[in-house]
Amino acid sequence: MNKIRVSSAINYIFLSVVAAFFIAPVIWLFVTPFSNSPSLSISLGTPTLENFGSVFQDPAAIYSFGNSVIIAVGVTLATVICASLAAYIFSRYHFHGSNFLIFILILFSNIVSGTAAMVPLYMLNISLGLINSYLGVILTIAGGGIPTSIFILKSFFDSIPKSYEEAALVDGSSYSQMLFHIFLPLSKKGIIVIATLSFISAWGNFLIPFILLSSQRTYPASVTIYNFYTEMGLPNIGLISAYALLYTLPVIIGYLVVNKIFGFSFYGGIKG
Amino acid sequence: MAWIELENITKNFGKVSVIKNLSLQIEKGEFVSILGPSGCGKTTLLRLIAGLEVADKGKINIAGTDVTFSPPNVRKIAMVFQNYALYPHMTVFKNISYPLFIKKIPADEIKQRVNTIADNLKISPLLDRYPQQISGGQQQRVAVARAMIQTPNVFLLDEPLSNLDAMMRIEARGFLKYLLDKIGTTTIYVTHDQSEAMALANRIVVMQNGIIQQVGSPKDIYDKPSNIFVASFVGNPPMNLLQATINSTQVKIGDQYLDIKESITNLRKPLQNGKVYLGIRPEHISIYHEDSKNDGPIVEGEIFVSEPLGFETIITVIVSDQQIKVIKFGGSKNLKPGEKIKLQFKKNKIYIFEFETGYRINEIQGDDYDDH
Ligand SMILES: Nc1ncnc2c1ncn2[C@@H]1O[C@H](COP(=O)(O)OP(=O)(O)O)[C@@H](O)[C@H]1O
Ligand SMILES: [Mg+2]
Repeated sequence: MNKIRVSSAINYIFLSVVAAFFIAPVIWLFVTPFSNSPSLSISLGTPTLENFGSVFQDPAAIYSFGNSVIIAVGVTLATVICASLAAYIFSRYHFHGSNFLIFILILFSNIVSGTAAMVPLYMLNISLGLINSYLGVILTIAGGGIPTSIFILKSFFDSIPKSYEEAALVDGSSYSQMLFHIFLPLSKKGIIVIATLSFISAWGNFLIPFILLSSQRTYPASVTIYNFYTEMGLPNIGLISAYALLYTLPVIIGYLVVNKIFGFSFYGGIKG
Repeated sequence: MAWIELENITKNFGKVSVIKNLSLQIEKGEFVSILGPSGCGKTTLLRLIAGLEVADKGKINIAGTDVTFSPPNVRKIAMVFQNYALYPHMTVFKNISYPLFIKKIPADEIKQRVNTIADNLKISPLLDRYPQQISGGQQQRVAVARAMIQTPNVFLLDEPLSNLDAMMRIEARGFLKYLLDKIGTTTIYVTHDQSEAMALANRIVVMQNGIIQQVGSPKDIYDKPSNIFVASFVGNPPMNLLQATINSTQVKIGDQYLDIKESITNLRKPLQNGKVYLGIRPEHISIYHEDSKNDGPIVEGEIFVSEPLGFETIITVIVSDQQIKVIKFGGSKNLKPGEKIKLQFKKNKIYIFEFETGYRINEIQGDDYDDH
């Protein structure tokens, strides 16, 4: 008995240290923006909204939010459209080597969108004339995420019995009616999840816009934050922390959406 | 031209040949049942008719139109899937009305037609629920309602009762027959359950391994099975099939000789080595006593087990190392395992099947059925 108690006490101590390690930055993120004396340690002082005020007075802070939205929405649209069409085919039609193809796509997308391939990606964007354009950033980020999205959506589509689509065809719907009235409503949840995840990942992507974009005016929030740290002689911690919190909000909302979707159970069909 | 014509249909999945050069004609208004064991290709055949699969070879005609390569939505068919395939994101009302909604029929007409059919099928109180909120029996009715809301060229039903429990199944079967008789639309009903096929259909198509074994009325299939497969697939318990040898007047089972002069009159084929299967249904065997009237050949055996089922008793008897099942109506007293017993086969209910091919080679009293 005693032995068990001691070992579980050690477990708790260990886990508390680990938890503190992860939680401290989060607490800082939520506390510092409201502090009248923001610093790198966690202290609230007198609560204030002043820091947010200074964010809204900084034009770079405002338009880079707009740039982030353009990039994230673009990536989301590109990913959702390409991934769901491809995943439908991968799920419904089996051809020789289809699983291997997905595997290869995922493998290469992870390499290609990683740091290692930045030079070739840069060269590619230059030769396509896409350098310093949102389209280049959107295509590059989307290209890295689409294979994994295909894989996730394919597994999701696999869980939707084909007989709903077949019943719809037999009931007289054309293929496009079947798609819009039956298949899309049934796969709505999976598609929303993919949309949210790709939005979040594009929103948070720093490296690709940092490398492919070269004018301040086009930088998204992720790059602007970095510039706040590096370009103003003495970093304005209040402004940065408030900006960081605002920058984090869409991500938090996104995860809440995903959580809500998976909080409810998926429509169950009857086994055939 | 028949209402539905299947001409030399062949369907392979990869290397597996599922439907083999199958031809079938169905007249308008017929209720045809496709009967066969699991995996024999019944669903595939139905899906070919529906257009959910495309045949590798052959032609399909529905209502005078060649639909061999047409997609399902132009074939004017209605189908009840084995798992019902009710759209889980739509209410029962939306499910039933979907085929009309797709045809852009005005909302009030849809409402009125759905209400009529829901009344008919006694599912009106369920219209606002979702498929996952109703029972299996109710789901089955909704699936039938969705099929019946249109006036299709043909109803296709794939084992519509197989997801119901035994009690529900009998009730649903009667109800289905009543409904389909009333509507009179051509129906193809797939099942592996011979009693369903017997109870429902005007005509039964018995299939095995993608090949039609026999086509005929339920009575034909039961009385005049064309081969061992059909004989043993239809009837419950199935027909007894005993290995035997035959000559012009006698059949020999083990070391017992049966006088079959009266029962086996017209053998269609001269027998090579005399080896045959003798078939006799459990309901055509009686227990022989000294005072029974002479109504057919007699064999001796030993009771193996007797299973009283209330109204009838199924007795298994060992005759020369082969098992024979007998149905006896009434009490089952004095039927103890190990006891000697004499069985009498009803003389005009004896079937002789060729040993090698399994084909029946004796003619059965009455108008004989041409089985090829
Ligand atoms: N899509 C398919 N791909 C490969 N084999 C299939 C497919 N559909 C059916 N089969 C095979 O075809 C045979 C007949 O299947 P099916 O028509 O479903 O039989 P039944 O409905 O009579 O039980 C089975 O052996 C089955 O495994
Ligand atoms: Mg089947």
